[in-house]
Amino acid sequence: MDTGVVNEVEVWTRACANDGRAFTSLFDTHRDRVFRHVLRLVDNAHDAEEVTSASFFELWRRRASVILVSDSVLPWLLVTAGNIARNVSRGTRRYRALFDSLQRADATADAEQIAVDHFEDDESLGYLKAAMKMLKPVDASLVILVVLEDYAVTEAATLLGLSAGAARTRLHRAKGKMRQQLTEART
Amino acid sequence: MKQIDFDPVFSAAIRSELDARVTAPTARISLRRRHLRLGAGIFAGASILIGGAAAAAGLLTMPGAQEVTELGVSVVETATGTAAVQLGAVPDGATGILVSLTCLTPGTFSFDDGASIGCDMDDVGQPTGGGSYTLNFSPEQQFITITTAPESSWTIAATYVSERTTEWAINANGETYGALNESGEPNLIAVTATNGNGGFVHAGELAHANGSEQAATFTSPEQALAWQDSMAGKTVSVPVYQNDGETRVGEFTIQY
Repeated sequence: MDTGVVNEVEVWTRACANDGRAFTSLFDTHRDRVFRHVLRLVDNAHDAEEVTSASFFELWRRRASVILVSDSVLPWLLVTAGNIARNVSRGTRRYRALFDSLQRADATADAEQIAVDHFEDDESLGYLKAAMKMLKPVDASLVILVVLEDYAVTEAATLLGLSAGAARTRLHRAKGKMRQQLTEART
Repeated sequence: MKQIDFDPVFSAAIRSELDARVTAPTARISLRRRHLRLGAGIFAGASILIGGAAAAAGLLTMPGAQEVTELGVSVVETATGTAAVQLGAVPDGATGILVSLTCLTPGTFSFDDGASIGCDMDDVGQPTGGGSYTLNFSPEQQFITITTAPESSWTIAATYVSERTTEWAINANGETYGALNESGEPNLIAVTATNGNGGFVHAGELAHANGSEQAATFTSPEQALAWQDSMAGKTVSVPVYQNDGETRVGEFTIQY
């Protein structure tokens, strides 16, 4: 990329034509954003790394049906990672043998502990996780995209195969349910 | 708040695995299955006979098919992780090693020459969970190595074989007919029609229907993708004939 301007549609097209460098550049670009997102939804950093990685493997495996939103694969990755995070062991099962065979920098570090230290700073995250699990997958995806990641409702609707009106209604109800859940958890 | 970063070592490993999968998709498909992917479509309820596959199916009379003679008994071995399998002395006339690998766990299993068979969770215990492959070998080689992750298990049956590709036959119209093989395609290619009948399709008609004729004119991935989009959901049929190239016995269907 000499120009410094990266057109992701072009990169995605090249990746789909078996250009490994194009695909890994998508990984480089979006890894941290997806990782930060998943950290809010799972219990520890190891799980977040595996969910993030699995979402990129899924991006490749399901490339024929990936929908770009705002000319980017990021929304698809966020939604897919969110769905995998709902049931980490099931969502990463396809890649379990691979993940277990790969080296880590600190194999001995207690990832769970790191995660607890991190999350105690913000107890509402725990409620958020619980509330997200309570929602139907489509509604959870809507909350992820619109509330947490600031995409427009119409963009989220495109990705999830909903009409804009249906997406607004579902989002409104989902927010209501989450608000109720958070209130109950605090009292 | 303490910043948690993605483990750089794990990330680098994931990155290189992604690169490998994207760059070499065919490396995860066994040789037999790779040959079957002639075009972008799927052969629905029909199949093309390939030299080696035709021989494996016992259709030794098919012209152009490979005649495979097993020399000696199979060595069967089960292992977990990378391991070498000793095959013993090389019999006279051996041209290859017929290896049939079955995945006992998900994983990627690589042969000495770099070809590999990939199995995921859904493949294990299924017909897709493995494959047969004929390895070329050097005369002094008395073992084969299967390379895989430490926890991946596999079983192989390996046999020295001698292979000989038979000649295509020629019909009354002067057209060659038989199975696809390494010398290319005959005028009439052996297939199994959707109705189960064995027969032949005209090479030109197949090339037009399966997209290989069009693919030869593409100069960019965008053109290929556009063509793929234009064909999505369509079904194309070509007639299947007897070896005279004239008597219809069924049809061969390609689904996009």
